[in-house]
Amino acid sequence: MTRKQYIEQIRRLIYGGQPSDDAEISVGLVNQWLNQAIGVAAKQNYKDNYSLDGIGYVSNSFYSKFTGIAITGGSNFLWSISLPQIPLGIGAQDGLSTLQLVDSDGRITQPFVLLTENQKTYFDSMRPIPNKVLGYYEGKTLYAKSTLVLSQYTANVTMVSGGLSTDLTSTLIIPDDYIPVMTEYLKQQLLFERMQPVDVQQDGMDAVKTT
Amino acid sequence: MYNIWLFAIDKNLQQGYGSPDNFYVTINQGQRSYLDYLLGEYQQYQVQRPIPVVSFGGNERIRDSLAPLIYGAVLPITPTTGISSFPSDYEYVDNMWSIYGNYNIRFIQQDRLDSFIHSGIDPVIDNPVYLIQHEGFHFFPDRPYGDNQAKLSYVRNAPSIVWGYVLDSNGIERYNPATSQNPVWSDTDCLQIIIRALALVGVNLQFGTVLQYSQEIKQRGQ
Repeated sequence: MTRKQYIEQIRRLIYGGQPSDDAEISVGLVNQWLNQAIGVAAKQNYKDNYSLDGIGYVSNSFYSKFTGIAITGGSNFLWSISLPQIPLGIGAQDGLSTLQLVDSDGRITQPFVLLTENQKTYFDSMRPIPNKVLGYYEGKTLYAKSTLVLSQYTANVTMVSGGLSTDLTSTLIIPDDYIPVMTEYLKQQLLFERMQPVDVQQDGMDAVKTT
Repeated sequence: MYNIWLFAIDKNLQQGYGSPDNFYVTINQGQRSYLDYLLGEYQQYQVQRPIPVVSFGGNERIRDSLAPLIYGAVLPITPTTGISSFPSDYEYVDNMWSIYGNYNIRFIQQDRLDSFIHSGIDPVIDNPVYLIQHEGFHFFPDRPYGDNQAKLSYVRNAPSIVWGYVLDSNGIERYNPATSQNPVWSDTDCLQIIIRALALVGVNLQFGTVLQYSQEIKQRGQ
């Protein structure tokens, strides 16, 4: 199912059929909420896995791979990669699982070792791990620490994501059993919006406060 | 229509007579009143909820009635101002789309303009809007979807209904199809227009029976 199809499904649910051209709950608005709903679904999956297996993790179905990401920087041997989105805040670093580099011939490196914020505070003083590059992410940026010139490579990252949110024709990467979790969340938010009184008078007063 | 209208008001000459000119005045007022009714009379609005009993787009029946007046037009837009004049026979907007692809161009009221123009989620460059003002339609951005044109579906004014005539040798009006203009409405809608015209005649002649008849049909149906 593509993002566009799911967004249409939600809008038809909210409007009880095909929305009119006056619809306030637009495709762009639902797409915005959808990113948050994906986070809710992934978090629910983490909780479900913990309660079933005793270990917290996010199922593989939630992960998407993004390729061809440019690497910049290099001062103090610190290279930065701009991620397609901020990794979800599930676990210490479950939001982003894998970082690999690709050279111009398509050869792929071994995955980087990703550190948590705590590990970041002491890894510089540790003995280097042979043939491994370390990295960590903060917000939307992933940093790799290496004496090699990494800007000649591109990065592949695998992270929890519903897919490319800017491309509505992209496949929504969420397993079917967690689609209802997203739907319930979206219904809750969007029906709340629908129920709010609207200020229809241009009289300098907020209608909600005057009624 | 003229015969039905005449039948209702001049069963005998003592009760009243309507000339073709009277018919012209009242029947066109009647169809304007009916058009207003179909588009949603202000009088029927509820407080804080502008939804009349009958309104344009309410269902297919209403749209069927208005179908003879629903026209399409390609609007030229002045690219520097983003304004396009109303069509000469314009009465009411049905919808507005991009010239290619039928993408929606949304109507907004002036007090929402700031919110729409500065929206971070639905920027107007991809979600154009328009205002209605005295010059015509004012588009934001000036060239919606990058074009200097937009497609409009609208309800036009009803063309005048005319019972054309020539005077015969006795000075009596005889129907003249050459100068007549038939109504564009369906037969059932014509009856609605006639009863509205009769209301006006009833007031004019202080003719309570005609007035009561038209009011009853208007309120309760046939």
